[in-house]
Amino acid sequence: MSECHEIAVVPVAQISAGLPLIALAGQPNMGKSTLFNLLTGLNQHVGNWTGKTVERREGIFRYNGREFCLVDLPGTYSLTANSPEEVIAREFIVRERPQVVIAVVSAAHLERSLYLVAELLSLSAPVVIALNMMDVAMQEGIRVEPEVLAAALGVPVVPMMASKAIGVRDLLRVVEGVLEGKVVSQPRVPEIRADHRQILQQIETLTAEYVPAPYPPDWVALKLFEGDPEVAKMMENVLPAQNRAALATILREHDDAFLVVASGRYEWIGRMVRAAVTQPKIGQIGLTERLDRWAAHPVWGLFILAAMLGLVFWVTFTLAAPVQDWMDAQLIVPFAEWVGSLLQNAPLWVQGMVVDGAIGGVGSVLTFLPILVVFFAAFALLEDVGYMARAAYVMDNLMHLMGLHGKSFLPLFLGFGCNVPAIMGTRVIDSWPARLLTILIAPLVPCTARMVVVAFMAPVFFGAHALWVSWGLVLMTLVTLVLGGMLLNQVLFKGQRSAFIMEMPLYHIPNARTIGLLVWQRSIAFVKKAGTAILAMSLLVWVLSYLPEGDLNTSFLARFGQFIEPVGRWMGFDWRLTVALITSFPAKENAVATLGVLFGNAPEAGLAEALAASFSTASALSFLVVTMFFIPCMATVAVIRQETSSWRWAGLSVLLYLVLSMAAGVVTYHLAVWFGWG
Amino acid sequence: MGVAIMLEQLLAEIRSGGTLEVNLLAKKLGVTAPLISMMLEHLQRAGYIRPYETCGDGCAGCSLQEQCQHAGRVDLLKLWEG
Repeated sequence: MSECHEIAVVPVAQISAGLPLIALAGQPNMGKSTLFNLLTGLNQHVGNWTGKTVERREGIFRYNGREFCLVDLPGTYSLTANSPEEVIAREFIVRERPQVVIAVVSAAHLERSLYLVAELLSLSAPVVIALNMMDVAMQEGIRVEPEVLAAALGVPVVPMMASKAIGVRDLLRVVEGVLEGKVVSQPRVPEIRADHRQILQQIETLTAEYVPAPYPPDWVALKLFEGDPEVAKMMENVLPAQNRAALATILREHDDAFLVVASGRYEWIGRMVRAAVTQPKIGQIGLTERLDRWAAHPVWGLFILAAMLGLVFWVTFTLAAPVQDWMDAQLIVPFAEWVGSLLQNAPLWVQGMVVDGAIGGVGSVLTFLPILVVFFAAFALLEDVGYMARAAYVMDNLMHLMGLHGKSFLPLFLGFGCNVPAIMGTRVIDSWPARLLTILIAPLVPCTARMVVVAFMAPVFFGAHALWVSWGLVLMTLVTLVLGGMLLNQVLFKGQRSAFIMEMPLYHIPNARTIGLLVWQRSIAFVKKAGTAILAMSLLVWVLSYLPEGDLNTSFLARFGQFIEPVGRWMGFDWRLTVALITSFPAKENAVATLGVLFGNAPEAGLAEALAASFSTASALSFLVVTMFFIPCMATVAVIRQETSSWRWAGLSVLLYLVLSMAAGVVTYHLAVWFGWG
Repeated sequence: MGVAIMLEQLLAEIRSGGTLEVNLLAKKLGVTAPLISMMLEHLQRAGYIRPYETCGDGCAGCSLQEQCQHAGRVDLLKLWEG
């Protein structure tokens, strides 16, 4: 503390009446404690405020041969009775009457600090502003002019950097000047709207002569006006009945007073900041504004979003599909053959379970991994750059324009990650019918698991056209969702409004570590799922495909598949596709695992080749459309049951999506056949 | 912006519904984005609006929960109700 050597440490025991009393006020994390420790060193006493569990710190410091008592008030955002800390801070200033209140504010977050200052200036104690964190403000490109701020506030402002002990001597010189009357303040306090000033005056007239000392009558009137419960309670005990009734009438007639008083303070803060702070519009901010003219535009933003979605699929297919093919043909198939050779002396059912069941099912799903890694990396990149917030913004704008408002939007938006939190998110909707309908349409949102299945299946069936097919599938479900939302809004949300407020971050250069971490976490989560739920389903499917005679074509699974095959035929499916679809109920990815088990007997080729050779374009397209609309996964159905407290609604949801997906499949298949893709 | 109507204007914007972006709101009201955030917090403390809270345990059992929790980051998305 090079600058503060002359601030001598004095033993705590010497704290006594007669020393000039100085209070340190400020919001949490503005450097108040740093300044307190800097001034008092080890010479401080820590206890609790009387009757409270809030910490009280006070100490003594010496400056220019004179001792001062310094009290560190609790960190507060305002002096309204919102918390014990705020009550303590204002009661101390009113009752103990410190000779100076040092308000520690952050130059880097001036707006945040000034609300408290606005309240401090309304009290009688002289205020000195310690404009801390000047270095942080400079680093962030924020320029605060202390002289201009002082002129605007009408009180002294001292720039400083408490963490580096810079500016402390200047602060103490100003404090000493205030104590000696050499520095005179003329604080400019916030105003309230003209039509409410008279009301405030009426309140003061009614209460002034009954205000207990040492409370300032004008401050008490203001606090009553803005509905402060502590001050209201205090005055209720001292006002005559007639004045109390008149006051109650005034306050009842002006229940917007809180907004009026607080607005006055915010308007005052806005003026102070406009006067004293310069935030140059260069670099990141300028770039963000320029890019957002397009990316956040209601129309162009949608085109850019569609292009980004297409780009993600294109990058995924271009980079990952060849790796996936290679893994399938060069790793999974040879690995299965190698394991098969190891187990050649084992019973046939053991060979089948391990090679066709475990490796065929889980191995097929694990070939997703390159797709997932690229897919997640592309989204993580967009997220880290700051684009995903714009995507959400333009999507919500679109839904708003189409009549779907915020209350149902956010739950639906969460559904893009997973439908489970989407269903849980409907708790925000107060009306039960509206909530129920939102729960019912939430599974229309294409969740990541379904997107991944599409990302795997589309290139298998459609090769170079996979990008357009995937893109079309996602758009199709979104259009259905919007139509469902419009219906929801027309029926249930008439007249209801709620806002969806977002803060879009500045665009910035992506951080490789952040992206890597996200991809790692998501990929590990997927691998865990492959090793547990998908493995279990693969083994079950294999067992059912093996029993009772060890022949797939006569197995229980085949019998079941052939039993329901007539239904699948409407959509162009054989029994294997139909069974694969049904097994996607526990987890969407199981569809691929099941196909892996059922087509695991094609040793010369990977799963992709075997599938491509087995089904027509019409059947494949129908399968993908049905997958997008198929019944929600087991976790989603369970959460629908939990949120509706009814198996009936959960069952209805299953039935609804079963009918919808089958109808979409039938239409898609027959249209595709009609186009000659059969 | 006239004297002392800022919070009323902000509430009016919220009540009109739809998507609101803090920086655009700040431009509209002639203040800075941090001040808008501060006013929203103030309105929340005063009980005029309340934040949307994402479900903490809704993703239990879902292997994609990491992603969902990330997408539902509170600092990115908030729903405020009038």
